[in-house]
Amino acid sequence: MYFEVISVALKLVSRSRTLRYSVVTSALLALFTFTILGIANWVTVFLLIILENLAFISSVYIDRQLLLSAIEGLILCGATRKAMYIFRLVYSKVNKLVLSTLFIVLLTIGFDPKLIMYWVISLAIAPLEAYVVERRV
Amino acid sequence: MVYLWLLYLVLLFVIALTCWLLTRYSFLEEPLGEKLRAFTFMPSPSIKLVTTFIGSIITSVSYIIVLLAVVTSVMLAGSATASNIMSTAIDLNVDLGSGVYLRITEPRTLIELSEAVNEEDVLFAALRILTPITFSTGDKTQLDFLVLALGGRYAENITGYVISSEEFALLDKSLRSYVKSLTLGRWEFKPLFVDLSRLTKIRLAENIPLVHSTGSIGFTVITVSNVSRLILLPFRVGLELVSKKQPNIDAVVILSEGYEPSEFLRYDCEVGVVNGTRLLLITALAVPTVESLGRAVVSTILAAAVMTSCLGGIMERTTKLSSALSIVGVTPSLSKLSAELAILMPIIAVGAVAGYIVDAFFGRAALLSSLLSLIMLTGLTALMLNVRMLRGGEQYIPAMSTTVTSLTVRKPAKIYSCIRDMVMKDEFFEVVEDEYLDVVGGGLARFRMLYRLSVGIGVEMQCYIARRGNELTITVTPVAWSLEEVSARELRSVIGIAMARVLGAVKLCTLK
Repeated sequence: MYFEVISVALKLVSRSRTLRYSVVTSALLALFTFTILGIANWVTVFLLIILENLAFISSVYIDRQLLLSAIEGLILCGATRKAMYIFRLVYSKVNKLVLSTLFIVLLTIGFDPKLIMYWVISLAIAPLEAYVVERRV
Repeated sequence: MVYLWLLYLVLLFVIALTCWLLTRYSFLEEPLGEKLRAFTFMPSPSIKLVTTFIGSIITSVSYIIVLLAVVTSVMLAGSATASNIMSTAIDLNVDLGSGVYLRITEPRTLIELSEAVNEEDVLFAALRILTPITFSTGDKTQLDFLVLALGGRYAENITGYVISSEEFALLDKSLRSYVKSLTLGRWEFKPLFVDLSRLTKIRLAENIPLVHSTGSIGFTVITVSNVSRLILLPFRVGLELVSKKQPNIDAVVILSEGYEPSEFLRYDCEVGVVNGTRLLLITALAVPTVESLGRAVVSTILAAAVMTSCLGGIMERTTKLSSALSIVGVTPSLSKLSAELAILMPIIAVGAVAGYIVDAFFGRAALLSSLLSLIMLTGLTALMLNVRMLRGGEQYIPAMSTTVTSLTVRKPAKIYSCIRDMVMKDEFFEVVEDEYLDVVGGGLARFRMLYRLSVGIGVEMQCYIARRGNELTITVTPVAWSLEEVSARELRSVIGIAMARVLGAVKLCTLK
């Protein structure tokens, strides 16, 4: 059951618009960060963190109907509470992984010491925001 | 560094609190459900509609995310702004050395500046007092003069005239026989008579003469032609005259290179940098750089991406509310407009507040970037809403005979009176006549309704109520009539509104 649930979650992320949304958003975030490398201040970095998290949380709404249908289907197929938890976890984590990895990889080309703090905070709040997204899912 | 970590801890706490609130109040995302109730129009139905939509969407988590995205984007655009000071290059006719150029037209500013700079640092100063000053030129004679006060190390080189002491005043040689002495209040000058005609030919730049001007023809400035009206005084005397009489002035001051032009931007004067015969005028108006505008565009696109995903959640709510409203007769176009206004107004409001904060902390250039971001975001939102709402389509309102069946134990007569009560409260129609006829196994109701927004259009609604056990069937048949020459399409629309009203009332009455 767990295998099926994970595969459904992965299929959902990869085939829906969510993945494309995450890729585009992270690329835009990276592009914006590139442009402020010389003049970055703490306010800008803080606002950037907020925007990234908003992008992550809002990714749930991209294909909400599809997601709800998938959840309904899984429940009808007999998915347990634990299986649904794994589904939510995989769905949101894969999404976050795409969003953050591309962003960080793109950022390493242009490095700014101030952005170290950005990554620290981003990692620190990741479980919290993941929890919120999971609840929404 | 400790403060920095403390700041981050506070930020983490704020984010955690936000996350908890979002989770705790997640029931707000639950469907609205069928909240059908009689829609009684207020005196201003448009405002009522917009507030209904605002009340419905403002509590949605997706809309809060949209608002946060707008605020973040606007502030991000502002905080990441670098600015340039606007400047204009002007070619001078004379070499004014190199330093800071100031052109002052306010007496108060000139006095403030004279206190702020050292006299030794003034390379050149020319003060034109535009108001004529009356001097005593003899025992009982007086003459009005236009005062030109010169000072600075370069004054002699530029003008060719030298005023060696504050005791002397230069007058044109044509006045030699008229002026015996020269007195102004407590000042007593020794007049020196020279040929001042050369002064009228000196121009600091194209159209900036050294002496007073009498006006201009087109772009050409006309200078004072009668040099006998001019008097040359030392700059310090001119300055004292200004502080005493507060006349209209026009002064040009060149300061040595030790000063920064930006220091003088706060004064009410023209500021520039002079280098030989090249003058670069700068203004206090800072404008965002092209890169900053690019950043504003990127942050806007980012916020727009967040909005695109969240609008789905908002649309769910507005569609449900539109459907509920259409049952009580609100046209789809009116609900669409109200929904758009309800979504856009808070966006503009919070964006404006964010812009105000940006202006307070980052200045005018940042505000320009923020405004650009806000305008683009508002435009994009309006565009997205239009596309999404059009895609949603309009609910079909039948303009023909319709039958509604429901399970209820209510008597047909009670249902008739319930429908009548609701139709009587309608905003668009006035019930001019209504009757009910009891027939076997049901009843026949008739409403003659006059369309309020037109002179001679009306609809007659016939409702046949039939009962079979607990099952109640109501057949509503509309017939429209008009005294005016209106098209069939318009009549169909009126029938549609009337049908929506009656069917809405039927639905509510059979629910009870």
